[in-house]
Amino acid sequence: MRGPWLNVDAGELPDEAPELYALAHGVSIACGGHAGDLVSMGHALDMCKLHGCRAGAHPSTWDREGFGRREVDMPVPILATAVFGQCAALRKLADQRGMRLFHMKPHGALYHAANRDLELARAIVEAAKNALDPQIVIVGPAEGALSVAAREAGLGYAREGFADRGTRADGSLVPRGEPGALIAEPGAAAQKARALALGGAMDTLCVHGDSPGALAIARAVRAELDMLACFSQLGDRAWVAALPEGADVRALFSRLRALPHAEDVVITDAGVAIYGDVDLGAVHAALGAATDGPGKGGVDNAATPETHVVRVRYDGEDLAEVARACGLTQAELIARHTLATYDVQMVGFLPGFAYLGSLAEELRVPRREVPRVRVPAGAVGIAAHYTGIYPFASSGGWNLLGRVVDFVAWDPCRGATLALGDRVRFEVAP
Amino acid sequence: MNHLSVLQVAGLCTVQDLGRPGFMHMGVPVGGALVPELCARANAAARNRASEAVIELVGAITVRAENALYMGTDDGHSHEVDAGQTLVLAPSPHVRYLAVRGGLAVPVVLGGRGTLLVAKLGGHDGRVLAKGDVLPVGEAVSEETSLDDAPSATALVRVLAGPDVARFERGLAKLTDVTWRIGARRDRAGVLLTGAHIQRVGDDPLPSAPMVRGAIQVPPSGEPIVLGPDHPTTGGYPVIAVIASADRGSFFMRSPGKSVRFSR
Repeated sequence: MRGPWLNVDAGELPDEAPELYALAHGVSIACGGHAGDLVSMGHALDMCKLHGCRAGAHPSTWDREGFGRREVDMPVPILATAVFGQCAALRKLADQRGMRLFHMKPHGALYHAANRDLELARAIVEAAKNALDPQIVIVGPAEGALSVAAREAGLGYAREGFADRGTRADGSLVPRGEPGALIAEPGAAAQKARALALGGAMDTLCVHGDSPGALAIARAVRAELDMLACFSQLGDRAWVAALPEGADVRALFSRLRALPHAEDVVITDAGVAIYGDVDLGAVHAALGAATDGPGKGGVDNAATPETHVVRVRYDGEDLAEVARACGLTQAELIARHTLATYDVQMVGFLPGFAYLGSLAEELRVPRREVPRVRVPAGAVGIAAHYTGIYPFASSGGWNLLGRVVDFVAWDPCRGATLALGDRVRFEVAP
Repeated sequence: MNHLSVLQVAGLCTVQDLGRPGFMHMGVPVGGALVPELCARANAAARNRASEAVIELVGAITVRAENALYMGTDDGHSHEVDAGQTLVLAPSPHVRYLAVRGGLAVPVVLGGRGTLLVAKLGGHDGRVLAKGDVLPVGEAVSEETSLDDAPSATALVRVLAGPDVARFERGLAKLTDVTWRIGARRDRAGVLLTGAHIQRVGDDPLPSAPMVRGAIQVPPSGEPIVLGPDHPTTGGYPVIAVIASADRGSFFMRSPGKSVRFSR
């Protein structure tokens, strides 16, 4: 999923960990209001450039003693001037480095005050737009005056959630100083990040650079977001991920199928789909172990793949045409088709339809341009790098080489005869 | 055992229930009622559990009770039908459901009683119902049922961005900006949408990917196809979006020519 990006507040403390810049997708740089000076701002910009992360302005009220967290009680024009001045100072340093600032996120008390007061929100959004550029993205709470002001000003808006702050039942932050305000345990922050990312209502997640254990929290949250980025949603009840290179598909299937709440697993060349309300962390771990064989990782229920020998009467409608297209005699074509042992690379399209690969290079022909309305049950076809057996009479576009003898691809009681990872060899029926 | 006979049938009538999850890895889609909420309503009206097997019809049907039967239809009406009496559901373009107290006792195949036509699996001999068919009716289980509201056939249908949304120039917007119509080509495997064309970025072929009910695929023609309960389990067309599971019934209720708008 294209989940939220991680933003970290920086340039606030003299002993901040350089690794924060490597972990963040974007950094909000204190620009003199609550913390920071020209030296720290320049350093923060240099670090963003070094690590390729986005840089943004993090202006505040003029409140260095209170770290910008004291209630705001100044007139709107004064606050707007403060934001303009701080943003302009950072902009100048960015210009000197040939850098563009991506976002503006108001700090602390100003953040909350502006989100309550539309007049203030409009004023600071306008100030940031003027001091920075008309493409600047405003970062703020999911709902409230800031998002309204950004929309009115024609600016992009990133809805922000906090991975290191506790929330009340109504979704609001637990105020600082109250129990549960800060999440200090990295695992809990990662869990919070996952919940916020899957909720889909956040564009960016924040980890405060000045929190105790900020670095460990940022590491855990970034790892969580990177993990989630491996998955795409396939509706609200399924996920897909890429099939890891060299995966033992049968063992992977068994591992995933055994996960709690996994309703089904479908593996194709394109990806792995898991259906049901599964824990993505566990899915990710299984994908990470995908190149391990069945014995490892405690999975032994991946039954040994079966090898099926299927007899074929090679009298298909397209036999002559395929042989011509491949520059082979019909006998050579049949010999090549029966030479290889194929793997069931996926099952799909129709119940019990196994995609068998890989077909020898010299036998590869495209699907027929106009599919047949009716292909008989048991027909053996080839297309691109696959060969397969039609389990039912159906429409189909594969080139037909023949028909199976005494082989049932689909049994009404047992289901599919060929399973992922099974092996198939064809023999000429006498 | 009680029985129900099919005297007349027009259109597409099959036995369905709420599906057979868990066999997609064999190429078997979940299947089940196109509009599960209406299936549940018919069952509630027949004082059944929501999951009992029912008749799903797009068309018309006349059935005769071979024994006294208690039936329910998706409009919420209950029907006491004496032995030898008939019940007629007149022609309609809508998807409708007819339930019988006790449920249709066709055999359970792979965990479900629904018909999967493409594989001739489940239901009544794996096929559409025809004149002369006699369907077994199960034992009634005492059940407290409540009739939930039918889904709206005009509401906005919510979608989630699909795995291939980045392959479309304006992403989801192209799908959500247009009023679509349900095409005439509609079956349990999929519904064609008409009214606009969605262009893909590039035309490199995609490998077959796992699919899901409600996935909105865009073939080269640009007219989207919404996958129904009997969809092929894998497919090679990019998926721009997937209908939220709560809104699937609202979408599949709509008959050809009806409009549909999608929203995020």
